[in-house]
Amino acid sequence: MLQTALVVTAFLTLFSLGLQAFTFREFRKLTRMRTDLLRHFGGSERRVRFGGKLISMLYLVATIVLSASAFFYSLLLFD
Amino acid sequence: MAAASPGSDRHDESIVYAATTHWMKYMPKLLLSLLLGASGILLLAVAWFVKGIPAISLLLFFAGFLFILIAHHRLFHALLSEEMLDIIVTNKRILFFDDCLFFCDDEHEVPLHKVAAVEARQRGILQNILNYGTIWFDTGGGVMDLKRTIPYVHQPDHVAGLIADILDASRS
Repeated sequence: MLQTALVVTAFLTLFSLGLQAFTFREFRKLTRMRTDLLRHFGGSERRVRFGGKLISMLYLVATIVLSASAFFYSLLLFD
Repeated sequence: MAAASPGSDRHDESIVYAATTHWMKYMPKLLLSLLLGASGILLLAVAWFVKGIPAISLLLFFAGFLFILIAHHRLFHALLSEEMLDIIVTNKRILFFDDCLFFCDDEHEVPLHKVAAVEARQRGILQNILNYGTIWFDTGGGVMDLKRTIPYVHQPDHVAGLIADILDASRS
């Protein structure tokens, strides 16, 4: 049981990280388009970049914490 | 919330106002994510109580973890999709972006010379307390449609006034 739990948790973690990588790539594309537009009109893009970086960082940390919690919980539950 | 930054460029078009829409836009997705997350935690708790039956416990554990993961990704997807500046007003046009990563990337553009009037609407207790609402551009059709409407605008009266000032300046 413990082995199954750990394998599936690992799979879901990897899937999450993959999905996150795709989301980051799409977000970067969108950010680039928006900052280009702002720059074209003579605006400042600093705020766009800062907010995006902060949320991306939080996203990564939250995914890692969530996955680690799932691993520990499965150890507690099935060990 | 607003990041107005006057400037000029070689195309004679400059930003007068740039802002993101009100944080209330996150609420429907946030509530759904919270509901999913809470269901996931409940399933994990039930998995703990039935750990005497390993097969059911295992099933509940995966279901709970999956629910929490869906809630987690949904929440950050909403944050990343909506975080960007989505209202840009230049001295020639109004741009409004409706983004949802992977699903939609809409850009609505209203040239200022086509705008006859600007209307700000705040309906209901929440919109009045939290000071957000809808801005509608009357381009002669008289019907409110999504292409000429910006929802969740923070301080809609202020933004409508600003656009009215630009319209006055361009006509005089």
